Amino acid sequence: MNPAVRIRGLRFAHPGQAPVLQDLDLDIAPGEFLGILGPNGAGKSSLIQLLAGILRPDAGRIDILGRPPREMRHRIGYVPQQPPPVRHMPITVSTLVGLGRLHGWRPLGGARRADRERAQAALAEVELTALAPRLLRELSGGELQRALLARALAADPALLLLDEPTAHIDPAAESRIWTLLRRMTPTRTVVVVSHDPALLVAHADRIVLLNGTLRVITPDGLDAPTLQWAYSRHPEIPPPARALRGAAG
Amino acid sequence: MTAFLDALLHQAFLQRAVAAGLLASLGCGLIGPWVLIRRMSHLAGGIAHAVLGGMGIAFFLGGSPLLGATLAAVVVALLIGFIHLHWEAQEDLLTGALWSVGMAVGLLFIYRTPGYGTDLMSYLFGNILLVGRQDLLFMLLIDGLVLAVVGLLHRHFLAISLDEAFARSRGIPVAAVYLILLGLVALTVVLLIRVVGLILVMALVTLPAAACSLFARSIAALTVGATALAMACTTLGLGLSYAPDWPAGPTIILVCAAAYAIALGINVLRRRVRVPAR
Repeated sequence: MNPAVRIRGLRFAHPGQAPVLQDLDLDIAPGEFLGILGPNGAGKSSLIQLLAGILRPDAGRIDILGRPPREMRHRIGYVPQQPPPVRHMPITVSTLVGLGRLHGWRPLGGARRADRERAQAALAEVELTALAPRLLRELSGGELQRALLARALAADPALLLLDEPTAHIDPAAESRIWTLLRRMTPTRTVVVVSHDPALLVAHADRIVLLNGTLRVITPDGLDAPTLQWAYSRHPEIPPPARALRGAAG
Repeated sequence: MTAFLDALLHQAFLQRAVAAGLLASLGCGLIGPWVLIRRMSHLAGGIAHAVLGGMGIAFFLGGSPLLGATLAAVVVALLIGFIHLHWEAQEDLLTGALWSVGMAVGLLFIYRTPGYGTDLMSYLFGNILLVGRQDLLFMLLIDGLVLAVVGLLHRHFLAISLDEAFARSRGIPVAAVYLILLGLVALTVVLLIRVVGLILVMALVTLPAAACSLFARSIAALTVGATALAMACTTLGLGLSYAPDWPAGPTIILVCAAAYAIALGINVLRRRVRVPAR
């Protein structure tokens, strides 16, 4: 089976800085739930943005369903790390979700009927239909995050990319979102950046440890020594072999 | 007000002034919400003040000050947009510099132009009573352009205002959409010069929109509300200034400020009624 995502020899550096990602190879299977874990500055958000086609690699290649990300944007859903500031905006949930149907310059003017129907389906998928007429500033943190997830789903993506989707919300709302995300596979491929190893162990099929280099493990391989290595300042020293007994990459 | 209404029936210059106020209000209602949502009142202020540079050069060369203002506004808007997109860390500083440098260039050129005094004051603080037919046509043209572009691109403006990263992931040309929005802000500034002048432009753009944003539940409602409120404020300001012979521009701005203060008060009361104190 062809992978949903294929990364080969990926290298990326922010302008004027040392590379955060180097010689990265990774395959993500269709319908897989992949977690990405690593310290701040390890390149997790950069990797997600490269997959989303927001950033361009300095070297190497990324294929989403066999094509470069910029050609597959209509099949990619993206939830950014920071929720937008919404207190001063008179924007309803349904308006926000409708923006997920925009692509390039299209459509000009108002929303089309098919777009509205798809946006409603996305709201239903995140159990937010009842809150569609609410203003964003009237939502709780968890509800806002689900609305942003619905915006990403409005494009009906095959690949869903989420950058720390529950970083700003309480545990109950966090649990609900992760349950929703888990439910989206195997229909969609889901890639989630998180700082919470317990959540990734509970929900992910595989976990990518990113810290200067890349290791792929199964959730049962994420024990204390591996975690310590993933967040260590010297990732060039490999973790103990027993810690990577579930390694799959 | 009675004297104003009576004069309005007979005086063509007053009718043109009211028409100018209404046309300017349409521009304010269309662009004010985006200045508010995108939080770019400082950038818009920079454009407004730097426009004096273009007007000063136009005065000096004997050209049309409004044409000079339009060209300067568009050039400064593109410069500010370029700064935002490429040197975001210095955006505040460079916008402030453009603000002052534009004014300095304008004042120098106007100083070197004989008979500058009256015109300078009318462009700095507006003189709606001097609006002619050509000005009204020019304002109508700009309103039409702003209305058409906002109608076509309002969802793109919203997408880039909410978060640029998501907009980029959808392949929306963020830089181009942002520059178009800044260009519209620049044209609106030029639209308002005759009514309230360069110095007071930002209040007329932002205050009606800010007042309506406390109650609006959609961008469309905000746009309609801000337009209606701006129309009411410009007409009322003009009426109030007529009998005592006050300058119309500052009176209009003070009416806008009063409307915003009243809206704030109503919003506070509304919240107290909804959430009674324990």
